[in-house]
Amino acid sequence: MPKILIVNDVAIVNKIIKKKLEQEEGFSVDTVLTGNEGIAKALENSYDIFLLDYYLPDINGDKVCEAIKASLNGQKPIYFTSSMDKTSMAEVIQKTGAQGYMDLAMDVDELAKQLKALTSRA
Amino acid sequence: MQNYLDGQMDASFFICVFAFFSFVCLSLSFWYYNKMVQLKKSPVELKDSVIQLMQTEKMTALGELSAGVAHELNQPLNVSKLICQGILNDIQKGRFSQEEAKQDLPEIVNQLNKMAGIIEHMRVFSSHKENTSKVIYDVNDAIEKAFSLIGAQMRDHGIVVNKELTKGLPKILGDATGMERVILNILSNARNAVEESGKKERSIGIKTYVMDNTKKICIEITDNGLGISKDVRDKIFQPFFTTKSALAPDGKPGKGKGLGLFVASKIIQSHGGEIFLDSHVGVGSTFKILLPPGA
Repeated sequence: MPKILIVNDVAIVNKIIKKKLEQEEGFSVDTVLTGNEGIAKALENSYDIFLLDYYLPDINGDKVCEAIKASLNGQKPIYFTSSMDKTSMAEVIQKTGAQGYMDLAMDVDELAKQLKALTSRA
Repeated sequence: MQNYLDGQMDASFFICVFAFFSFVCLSLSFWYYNKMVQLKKSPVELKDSVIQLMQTEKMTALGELSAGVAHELNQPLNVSKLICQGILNDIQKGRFSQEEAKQDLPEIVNQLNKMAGIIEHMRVFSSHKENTSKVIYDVNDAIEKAFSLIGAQMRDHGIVVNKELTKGLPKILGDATGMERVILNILSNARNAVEESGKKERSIGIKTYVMDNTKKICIEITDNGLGISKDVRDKIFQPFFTTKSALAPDGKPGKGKGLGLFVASKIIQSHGGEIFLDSHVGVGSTFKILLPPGA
């Protein structure tokens, strides 16, 4: 069962995506609201994919991404989920070494499809 | 005979010169009269012109703001969409729970209220007429309102915003929506300056405090953008002075009208305040607004 960690400060968004992915797609999903909680969870558990918002209440997503990458030797894919403009997002991805961007606001079915494709490839 | 002809020519020449000077004098008198009439009207006409300039600037600002408002509306819109999708999904899969819907639906109402607030704010901002109502207000409120229209856009453009707003500032007297417009204009210029600088770390800082010596309220807006050269600094508050192109690459009107800071300085003056600029090319700029306490 692929494990996903979602770091996003909008609780209801986390709840809806978690429900969809767990009940329909066979994922195991943990969610946290802050960057520091995200780093702590990443150290405690083994995840296959991280979905990371950039603007978090405590620290920005780039710092969370760098911390997770450093602790896991950059082995697991990290995707940003912020609604930043494309140029700024490309800069963040390049700077942090994240795998890319995923739109949480897209159709939840489409999101699930993308995540399934990623985990089946891994 | 020759003498007679010479005399005749002298007289004709004299008459021509006299006629010419008479014409010039009459024209000058007419022009002077018109000018005097115009000068008598000028205070009213000048006031109308300034109001027209302010209106033109407001339309330009609103055009620029629409992109910021789109960013502000984006998040509540996406959250509402996701909740609706979740409920719909539950119904389709036969797992709809009334209890859960009772928790989720108020969140849609919250998000819609947020959007309604942004739209109402935009309506008040666009229908606002300068200096029509003076009120006692807190400059921090004007700053927060300005950020409610432009903050998400800055964030989504990767600009770090540092706010240090001193709580409990003395209130000021003036046009509160006008001051919000001043802040928006300076923030919008700062955003352009940091984006055009090509710097990796783009930041804008805003702080408010009371000056120790004069007890005036100070708003400082700092960016780490391109900076402004001395020759531009000297003219920056003049009407129609702009460093932005008047035409966009596609030939349509560009961003620059050269009215934003002129209008900002007029609004600050109407508060009995002053605006100063400190800038270093390649380092960034700081606009400092000093306002007298109003109560």
